Order: sequence, then C-alpha cells, then structure tokens
Amino acid sequence: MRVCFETSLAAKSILAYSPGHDKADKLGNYDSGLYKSSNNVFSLGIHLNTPTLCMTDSSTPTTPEEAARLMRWAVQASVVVAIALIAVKLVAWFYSGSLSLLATLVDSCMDLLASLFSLVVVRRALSPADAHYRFGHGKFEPLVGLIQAAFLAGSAVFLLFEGIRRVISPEPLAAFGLGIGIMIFAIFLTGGLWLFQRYVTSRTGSVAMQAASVHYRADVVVSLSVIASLILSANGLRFFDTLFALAIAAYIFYGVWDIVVQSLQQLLDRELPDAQREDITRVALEHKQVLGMRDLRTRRSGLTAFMQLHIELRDELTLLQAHRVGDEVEANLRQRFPDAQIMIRFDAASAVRDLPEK
Amino acid sequence: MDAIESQSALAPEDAASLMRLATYSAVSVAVVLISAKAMAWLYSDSLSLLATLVDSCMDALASMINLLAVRKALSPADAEHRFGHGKFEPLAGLGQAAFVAGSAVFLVVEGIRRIITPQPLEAFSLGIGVMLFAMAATSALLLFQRHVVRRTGSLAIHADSLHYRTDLIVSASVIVSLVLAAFGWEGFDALFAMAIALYIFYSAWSIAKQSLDQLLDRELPDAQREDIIRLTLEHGLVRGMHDLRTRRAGITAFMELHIELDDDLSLLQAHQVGVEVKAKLQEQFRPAEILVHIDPASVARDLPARDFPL
Repeated sequence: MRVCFETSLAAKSILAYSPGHDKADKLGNYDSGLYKSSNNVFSLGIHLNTPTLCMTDSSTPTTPEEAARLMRWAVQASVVVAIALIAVKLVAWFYSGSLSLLATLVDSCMDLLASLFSLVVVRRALSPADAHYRFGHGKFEPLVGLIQAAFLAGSAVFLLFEGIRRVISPEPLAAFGLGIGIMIFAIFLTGGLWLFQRYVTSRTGSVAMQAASVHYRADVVVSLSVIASLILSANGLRFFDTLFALAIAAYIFYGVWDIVVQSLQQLLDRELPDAQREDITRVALEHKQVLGMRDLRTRRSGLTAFMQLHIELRDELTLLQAHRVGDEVEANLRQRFPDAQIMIRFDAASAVRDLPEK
Repeated sequence: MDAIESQSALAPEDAASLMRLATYSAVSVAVVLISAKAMAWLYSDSLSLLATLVDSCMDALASMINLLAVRKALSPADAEHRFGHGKFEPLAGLGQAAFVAGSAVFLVVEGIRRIITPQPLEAFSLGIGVMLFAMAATSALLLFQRHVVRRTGSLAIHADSLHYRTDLIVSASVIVSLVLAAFGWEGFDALFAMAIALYIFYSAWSIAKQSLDQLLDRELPDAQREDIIRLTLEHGLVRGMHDLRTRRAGITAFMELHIELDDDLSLLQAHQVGVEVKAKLQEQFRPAEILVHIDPASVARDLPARDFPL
C-alpha cells in the first residue's frame, strides 16, 4: 500500500484524511522507490538463514502443480518408509526379543506419528483458498516446520541425556547380528527417503519438507554412528557411542534452529530474499509503459510468494489501458514466479511526483 | 474477539501506548507480588508460600517476554518486515498458551496426588494475608488489562491476562477450601484444582486458536467483512467489487479488494476514487493497511465465477 502517497494526495484533495497521518509518514520512510534504489536499505539486510527457494536455485521454476505433487509424494513416502521399518523391526523383535531392537522400534513409531501429522497438515497447506482462508493455506506449512522442530529438539535432548547417562554408567554395546542387518536396511531406506526429500526441498523451497529431511538425515547419522561405535568398541575403543550421541545432538540442534528461524520468518511475514526482490523490480520495470515503481512488499506463505507493488503510468491513459499494462506486468512476473500471488496497483505518475523525499 | 468491534474509536498511537502500559503494569504487579511473598516466606518459612512465590516468578518471566513481544509488535515496519511486526503478537499469544497449559498440567498432577494421599491444608494467617493482598493487586491488574483488550483488541494482552486470571481463581479456591475444611468438609482443594485446570485448558485453547488464526492468515469475522463491503459500495462511482481478502496481524487489519469503475475514466480520476474508498475504510478500521485495486467494469464482468462468495 502506498501509504505515503495517499496521505500526500489526500492533503491536497477534498479528503479530510488526517487520522493515521503520522503512522503513514513513518511507514513511508523506509520506502525505497526506484529513484532511491542506490541507497537501498534492504540490500544490507542480514540473511543468516535465507531459505533455499526454487526460484533462486534452478533456472526452470517449479510449477505450482508440480511442487504440490512432489510434496505429496514426499510425505506419503515418509509414511510408507516408517511403516515398512516398523514391520521389519517388529518381525525381528518377535524373532530375537532384543531390547535394543525394541528401542529402535519405538523410535520408528514416533517417526510414523510425525509423518502422519505432516501428511495431514501438508495436505491442508496445499489445499486451495477457501472462504475462511482467502490467502490460501500456505501458512500451515511453517506451522508443520515449527512442530517438527519441537519434536526433533525433544529427540536431541533425549540423545543428550542418554549420552550423559552412558558416561556416568557405561554399558557394553550388544552386537546383535540381526540388529545390524536391520540397521543397514534402515540406513538404505531412510537414506533414500532423505535424498528424495532433499530434492523436493530444493525444488519447492518448502520448509516443512526441509524439516522432514533434517529429521531423516539425523536418523541416518544415528544409525551410522551406532554401527561405527560397534566396530570401534570391538577394537577396544569405547566411549565413542557417547561422543557420537553428543555430537549428533548438537548437529540436530543446529538443524532445528535453522528450521525454526525459517518457519518464524514465514509466520511473521518477512520479506523475500533480496535477489528475488531485485528480480521483481527488474521484471516490472522492463515494461515500456511503466515509468517507475514503488512500495514493493513481499511475503511468503508455504509455496506461494505474495507480492504487491505500485507501478507508475502516464496520467492520460484510460483506466482500461492502464489495466492492460498492469495485466502484462503481472504476466511477466508470473513467468518468473509461477506460484506467486501478485497485486499490482497503478499510480498516476503526476500524483507520485509530489511524494516527499526520504 | 468481541474486543475488536470497539476499536474504531481509538487512534493507533493511543492503542500502542495503552498496550505498552498494560505490559509494564503486569511486570510491576508480578515484581511487587514476588517481593511481598519473598518477605513473608523469609519471615514464616512456609512451604505453601514458597510454592506461590515460584508461581509469581513464572508470571514475571511470562509477562517480561510478553513485554518484549509487544514492544516488537508495535515497532514500525522496516526493510525486512514491510508488512509491520504485528505477527509477533500472536506468536507471543501462542507461547503464553503453551505456558498456561503447562501450569494446568501441573495443577492436574497436583490434584491427583492430593486425592491419592490427602494432605491437611495449613491455615497460615500470614499466608492468608499475603494471599488477600495478592488477590487485590491481581484483580486491579486484570481490570486494567480487560480495559486495554476492549479498546485495542490486542491478543498478547489478552493472553497475558489469562494467567493472572487463573492465579486469582486458584487463590480464591484455596481460601474457599480452607473455609470448607474449617467446617469439616475436606478434600475440596483437589476437586477445585481439577476444575480450574479444565477451565485453564479451555482458555489456553481459545488463545492458541486466536493466535493460530492470525498466524495462518484467517479472514476477519464476517461482520467486519460485511462492513468493508458496505462502505466500499457506498461510493457513488464504484460499480461493483470483488476479491475482498482480509487478514490480521496484531492490532493491524490488512485488507485488499478490487473495485470496478467505468472504463472511460482517466487514470487520475480512477485513482481518486480508489483513494476516497480507502480513506473511508481507514476511518472505520484503525489501524488498517488497505490495498485497493482498480478494475475497469468491462474487464470485471468477464471474470470467472468464484468457488466461494465474496
């Protein structure tokens, strides 16, 4: 919304529009219209954890349908993998009665729970806008991210305690032959799932998918570390399982932090990365009839990027002509950002010229 | 929230200062209660007093986090959050809901423990004095917070008042239990604890739901949407409207709508109509961020029908 502009126009027009004037000025201050783009404040913004979005990564942007399909596959695959692992471990546990196997079985059940939850909420996130959520359900996705992160952090805390407990009262690792076989099977299955989820994350930029891939990556690393500890302890090098547990917990916390930051950024309506903002500006200004643009505001909700901007057109254009230019700019932007919701307002250039300088 | 309805009378700056004041008062009340209880505890060494002291410390912590969140929520938009920081408010609300739900779980566990192994309530006179003082201070804070919520519709203040309200009810129930125990009816404290826990869960759920509605960009209540539609269509040059979308972030309402105007208006004239519609809406909804998109009526006529009504 061009707040600054509205107020300045209101001041000289018939409108008695004083309320909110102070706020409008304040809001207008950070605006960087094109003329001021040399001193862009936002390009100095700190992006510690800029999400890896499909639009920045690959030259061919993922279409919304493709992204939705990939994400559905990914959540369904994680449910299938969890069920397969539970079945195999259950059979092996019946056969061997091993306590360690029972522990990993419980772990897989928790995975299944988390995957089912993701499945339900991701479906919701991908469902089209309805009367209650006219901006779409995209924000359910960072919510999944947040809850998965809490779940992961809990398991990291558990690992941490377990590791410390083993330092205090060391236990010999039981090298169960059947268990190792199952673990290797699990590594391959979860490893495959992780690779697929990572691919989907890079194609869609979905934070829920990223959370899931961090989860399964941790599972793979834990299984590998158990095997490594077994080999090391067979050679007389003990305590490595504790060291590994602590290191993995730290590693999970790091991944969790990243997911939390990204989820919160979406929930709190943070701007898109600068590279994408610059792309939007460039594409909008490429149109010959567009004299200038201002007040670009962006946010992200799940797979959908929301952008609103004001383009400046010649005063003499009729409404119909101006509208056509707007449609064309929108079409150009959509080519670059296929899954975007774009709101373009056209300003009469003469009105915009009177804007106060920053 | 019924509070949203009455906010129109308040200017955004006044709302902001009221909200800040409410967070400062909450922290002050918590600090005063902590010092009073700490002194009484040092003097009496009562375990029950220590428990309520710990409770007040948790309150102070929650209120301080709330204070920071509200400050952040009220800070103006910047380069990284061009839609403003309003969503920090529902985030704080979600945190408070989790906090309050946790304390309810504690109450339930405590209540069950007392049913299994009943403990006589100790009627400590100093303790009752402190409790009455705490109840008076908490009630005053609650009244003020309720006033602020009515005026601003702030979710964070509403959430903050929730745990003070539960404190008040818990204190009252302890006194009632003491009186009942004096008449020979024992075991009521455990029952009360369970009932209060249920009530707290209910309140925490409603706060969490309201917070999630905002975080997930749910539409404003239907009554407000109808107001927006009515005000927009009142303008003489507006031929029609479509695609009204609304959401809320903290105390700010966001709305975007398309108005339909005659094709042959000049861009400047059309623009003027847009500005007028916006000003009218802004009068009714403050603070609000409004984006009015102008469509030529001929183009709007050819739009495909929507799956759901305007």
